[in-house]
Amino acid sequence: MDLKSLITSLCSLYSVSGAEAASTQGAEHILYDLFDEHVTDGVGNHVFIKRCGRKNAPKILLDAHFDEIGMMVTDITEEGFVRFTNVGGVDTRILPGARLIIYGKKNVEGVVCAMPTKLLGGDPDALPEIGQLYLDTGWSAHELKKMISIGASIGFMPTYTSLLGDRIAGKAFDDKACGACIAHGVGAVKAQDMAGDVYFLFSAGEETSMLGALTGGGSIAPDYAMVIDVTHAATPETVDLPLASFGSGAVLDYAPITNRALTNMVKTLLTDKEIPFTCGASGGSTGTNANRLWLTGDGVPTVLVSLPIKNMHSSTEVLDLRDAQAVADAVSAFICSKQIGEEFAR
Amino acid sequence: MKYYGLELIEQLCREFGPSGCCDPVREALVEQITDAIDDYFVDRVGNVVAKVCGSGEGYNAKNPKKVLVCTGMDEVGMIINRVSDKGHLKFSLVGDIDARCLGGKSLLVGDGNRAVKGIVASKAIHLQSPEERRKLTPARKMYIDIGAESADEAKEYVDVGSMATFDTPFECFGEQKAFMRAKALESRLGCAAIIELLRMLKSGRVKLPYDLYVAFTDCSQLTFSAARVAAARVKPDFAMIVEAREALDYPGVAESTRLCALGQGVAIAFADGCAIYHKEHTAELRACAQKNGIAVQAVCGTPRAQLGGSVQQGAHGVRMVSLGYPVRNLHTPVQVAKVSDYYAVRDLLFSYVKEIKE
Repeated sequence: MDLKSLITSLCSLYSVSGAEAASTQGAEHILYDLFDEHVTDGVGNHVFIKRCGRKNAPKILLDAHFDEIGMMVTDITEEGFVRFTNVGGVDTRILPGARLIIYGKKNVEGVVCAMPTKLLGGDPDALPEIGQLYLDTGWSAHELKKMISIGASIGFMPTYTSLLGDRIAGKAFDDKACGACIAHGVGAVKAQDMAGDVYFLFSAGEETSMLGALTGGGSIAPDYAMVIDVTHAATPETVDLPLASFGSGAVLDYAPITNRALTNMVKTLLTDKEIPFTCGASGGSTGTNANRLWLTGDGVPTVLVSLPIKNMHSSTEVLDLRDAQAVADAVSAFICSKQIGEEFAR
Repeated sequence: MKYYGLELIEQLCREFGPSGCCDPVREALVEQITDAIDDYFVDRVGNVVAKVCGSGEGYNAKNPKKVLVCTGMDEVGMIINRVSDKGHLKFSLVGDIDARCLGGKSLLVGDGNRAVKGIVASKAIHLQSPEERRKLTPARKMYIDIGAESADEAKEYVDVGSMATFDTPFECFGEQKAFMRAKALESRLGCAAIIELLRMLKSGRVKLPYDLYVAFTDCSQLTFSAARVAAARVKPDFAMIVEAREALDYPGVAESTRLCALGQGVAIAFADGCAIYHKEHTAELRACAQKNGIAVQAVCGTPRAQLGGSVQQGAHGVRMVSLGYPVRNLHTPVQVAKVSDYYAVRDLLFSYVKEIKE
């Protein structure tokens, strides 16, 4: 499968935080050929393992989170409309007029009512709060309750659009697009060329609690790790922020919690392999699973790599396939680096 | 290729046709009606006007009476007013769009001959200030991203003056798939109902005692509706306005402010923002519905509307009735209507044109 298809098929999977297990078969169907083993755990993590074939080889952990932001049913009105709350940082501003899917015994599609402000009361420039929104399902409450219940997850409709050049728009690039880059990068190398056994932790719950990285890191106990998540790409509204532009490749992040020596070695590696990248830096929290992973077990030297996307946490996130390819190439180079393997093996 | 029923609606909704840029819609309309009419013309402001000659008992061939059935053909959208150095498109709104429903939506941008995909960019929630999260971003501060990296790349496909429509597929959904959601239902449902009316008259060999004109009009989403020109040219003795009526039947909305509701049948208005409908004919229309078992509802309140007013002013205060179809999320990327309401409008049109004794 080419990288673009891998991205759109993985991102189409339904995996709102807390309901990651629902797409176990879907993930396995897409990724199994690229790995040797697939294991899941109690919090919804998916771990895909590719063995290098040598005994006592170092464990290399690659993390991308499997969950995506979404919503959850809080009420079914007598007219058959659904009220909902957010799961993770959903951008409420893009919800009126959005097409959503409620995941129940049977999936129910709906449209978020775009109610005129006069019905919402107050300030004409005010935006509706998520609690004021209704999902129009076209079902009677009686029938609806046979298919969905309070607490059911709601996700964006998985539609993907090709824009000009190498850009694509759609839902949940955060962070399954990075998972696709990992799978593509791992699939591109021969097992015997790898510096160790590769554990791809497609982790649960990043958008709500980063629980998956915490437990997954602990049970895998890797020798070293690369966390890959999305970051904001430069847009006209962010000219004053130090953000990577589309087409500039992967972003290699420096942060107090990531391992500086490992990050420096990756920087040299990417430079030597002529893989396009820029460097970024964050002061405290990275906003990624790296925050949790480095503190698991007896500590994990971690490097953070990011894929720039636009409109994060919306139904139309945009990425540039050139950058995704650079991230995939960075993964291939990272897992095959004997130098990093020797330096960071326990 | 001729389409029928829901497939006809789907094909019409798919066509690119923001106000003033309706060529694909015009072509589709002409193709669909051509076998069912005696004559048609496209007037100088882009309206498609077709004629079915009368022949029935009481038809005065020398000085025939004329009845006009009028609907819009255009949809709301955007017009590009600047292409930035980075290839982003700034735009003005075309039609009565609430900017609240724009962020993150998929678009088609072009001129009717070719279109590229785009999205309305929306700053990531993480980067919004607390105030931005609570306050509406006005359309003038938004932009469209078509994936271009420079003005030059963007201008290979679009330029200032290019237009955009929502890119939402037509889908039936809900219990027994009784609901439709799509872009452009605001005008294309009316177009479909009139196309089917013409075909029903043809296949039923119905002889009318007057000349029936139908007008599919441009710029119906604007204050300056082209319907005025069509009405002035046809000079009808009587007119029927087929248009979307905003349904505010959301939970918690009092019945008195709902205007109309989905599933309740043809929404008959007594007056709207610019037109007054004829009292006796409206009573006749309701009686005709009752006689034929077609559901109707009264529009309570005066909805915003332009089409009826344009026709009335263009045709010297002609007597008119209104046949509305209720639409939720009117003028948004996903408008919602009920299939049964559409058929009610179509059937009432067919029943009523046979009763008019002009």
